Amino acid sequence: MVVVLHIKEMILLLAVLAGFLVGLSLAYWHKQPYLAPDLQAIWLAVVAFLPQLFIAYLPVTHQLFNNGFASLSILASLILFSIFAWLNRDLPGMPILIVGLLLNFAVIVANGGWMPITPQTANLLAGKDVLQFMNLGSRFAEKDILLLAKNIHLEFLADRFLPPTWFPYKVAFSLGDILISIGAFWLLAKPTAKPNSMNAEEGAVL
Amino acid sequence: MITSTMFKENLGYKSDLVQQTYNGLNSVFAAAVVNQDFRETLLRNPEAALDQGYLGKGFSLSQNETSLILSINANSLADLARQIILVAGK
Repeated sequence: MVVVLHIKEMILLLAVLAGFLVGLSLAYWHKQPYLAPDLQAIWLAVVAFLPQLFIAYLPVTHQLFNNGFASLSILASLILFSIFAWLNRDLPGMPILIVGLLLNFAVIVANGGWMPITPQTANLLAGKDVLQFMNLGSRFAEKDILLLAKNIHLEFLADRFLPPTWFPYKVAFSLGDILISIGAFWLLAKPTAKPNSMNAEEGAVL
Repeated sequence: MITSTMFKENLGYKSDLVQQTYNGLNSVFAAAVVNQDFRETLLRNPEAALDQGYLGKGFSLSQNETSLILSINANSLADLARQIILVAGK
């Protein structure tokens, strides 16, 4: 059984990794131990990921669910992630991440439960020849639906951004995805303990 | 560089040739774009891929479309689409 790590999630993973490395570097610079964010209800994040795991990532289970159920599961997953993020809203980066989740949720709900993508953007990912065989309104990749821009609600929130041409992977992402990645980066990059407060505490003890 | 003009024809971004000649292949490509497992099977063993169907349903392909899929040896989905379009254009 192979779990495929999809490119979009890989970008989020890169943001997490970059945030962690920056956080470690800052902690080293300030001569402090790195303090990981004190996340509440992590189990909720795990539960939230399960629908996406079964619907989008596990090839074995992917084919068991029809489009309607898959769409509802992705929405349920987003809601659970949003609750998890809200419970941790006081942590640095979380407000940005929450906004990103809400933007993705809004555009997915507004377009029938799927993240819309235009033929123009899809063409850059799959190639124009493949697109000749795709119908408008059909699923595209794991979570997207192919729609003309004029038929997309909240088009500015759709999967419409592409990485630079030198980037080794082709992927389309939304404004919500960008904010989620920034939030995840900031969550891990920002030291939880401030240097001044640590020094003040040390001074008080002495 | 891709321009938006190529999609203005019929507002459906498709050439009439492909739309009329191999319309039944839409479902095969739709499944292949969504599911990596199916895509790989389609490229490695197209007969098995067509037999297994997708989401519990078989594909409604004409004899011509089935023969075409089985006769092409493609190394990617884009390559498969390209070869089908080449055949359709002949």
